[in-house]
Amino acid sequence: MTIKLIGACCGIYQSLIKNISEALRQLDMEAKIEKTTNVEEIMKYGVINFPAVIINDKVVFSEYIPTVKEIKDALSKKG
Amino acid sequence: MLESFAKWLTFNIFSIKPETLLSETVIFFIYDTIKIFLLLFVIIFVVSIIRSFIPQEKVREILSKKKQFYGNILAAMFGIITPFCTCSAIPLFLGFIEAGIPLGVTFSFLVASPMINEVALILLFGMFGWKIALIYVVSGLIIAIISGIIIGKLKVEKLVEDFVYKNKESHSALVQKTSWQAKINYAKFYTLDIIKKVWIFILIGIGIGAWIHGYVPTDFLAQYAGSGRWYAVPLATLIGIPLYSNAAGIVPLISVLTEKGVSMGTVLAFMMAVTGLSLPEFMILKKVMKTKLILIFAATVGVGIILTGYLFNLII
Repeated sequence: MTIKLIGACCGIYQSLIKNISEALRQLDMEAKIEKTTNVEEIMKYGVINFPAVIINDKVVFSEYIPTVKEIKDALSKKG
Repeated sequence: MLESFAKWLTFNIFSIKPETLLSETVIFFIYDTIKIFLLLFVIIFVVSIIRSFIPQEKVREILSKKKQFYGNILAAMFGIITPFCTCSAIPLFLGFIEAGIPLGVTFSFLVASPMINEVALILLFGMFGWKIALIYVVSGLIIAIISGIIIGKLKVEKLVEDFVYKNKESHSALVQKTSWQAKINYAKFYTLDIIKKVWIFILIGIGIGAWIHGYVPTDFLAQYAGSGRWYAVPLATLIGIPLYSNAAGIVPLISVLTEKGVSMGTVLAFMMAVTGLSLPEFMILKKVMKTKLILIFAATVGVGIILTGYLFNLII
């Protein structure tokens, strides 16, 4: 599984990454966390609100820092 | 009260003798550090809460309905409250263009957003007082508005990469949380993230600043960077360009430089160049626009900053 982050690579939003890693750890799942700055990719997802979290090619959260529990819910739904 | 606490800590806990250079320096360091961090915690938190009431969607919707000029003014003002980081510049730019916002208006936003940010403002307010902070905001707004209007008039849409205009439909999947709990969570995370990012720069900045405050003679720098030196402003602007990520540490440092004779206009120009002209931002914008447009953008803002610097050297 790949989790992509858009507009979240500038040092701030550390808690976003921390929450995702924590959620993965609690669910005992593994995923690659990618911070993408690729323009075509950003346009493909139509993401214009950031920070955005994309799980398995679907925009799950945008303009929002989800809690560990919310990420866990999203991950187990996709799982 | 803060000052008495700083003195008490210096004299009673660290047992440093009063009326010495060392005690001056230590008091300065403790006082400024506590003051700045208190301000950072409170103000960033409040700004983040306010921000959560103004979704990015809404900003685009409002701006897409405005014509040039009013659009530029509004865009610059939205720029103040919107968070900006270099890598959010691309999705932001794409979103604006997709929403049909004119290029000039988009640029007003792109100039104001990094230049007038809450961390820079808190530090300016904490170290220089509200007047300088206000002057900074107003001049920043004027530079953003005028640069945007100029770029709008130049009709440089062809310098934006073609594919940006191709994909017109946006299909944002939104999982929006608007409860108070979510807003407070967001504000809490955001505040901590920012402080985690900048605290070390601020401490170093205040540390060196405190040392200069205590040990460098007053007016030492006046002969090199006082208002009488014509090259001080453009030089300060140039030096500011590569310093973007260290903006937080720079304010405490330059605030003591003014004590030592650097003039206020030069300091303002320097600060604006640090926040408003950023090399990493230019590099990343290259993905969506031609180099020529970036140069126009940098030159317009740069000239605006230099003029502002000269203006305030004349009047302050």
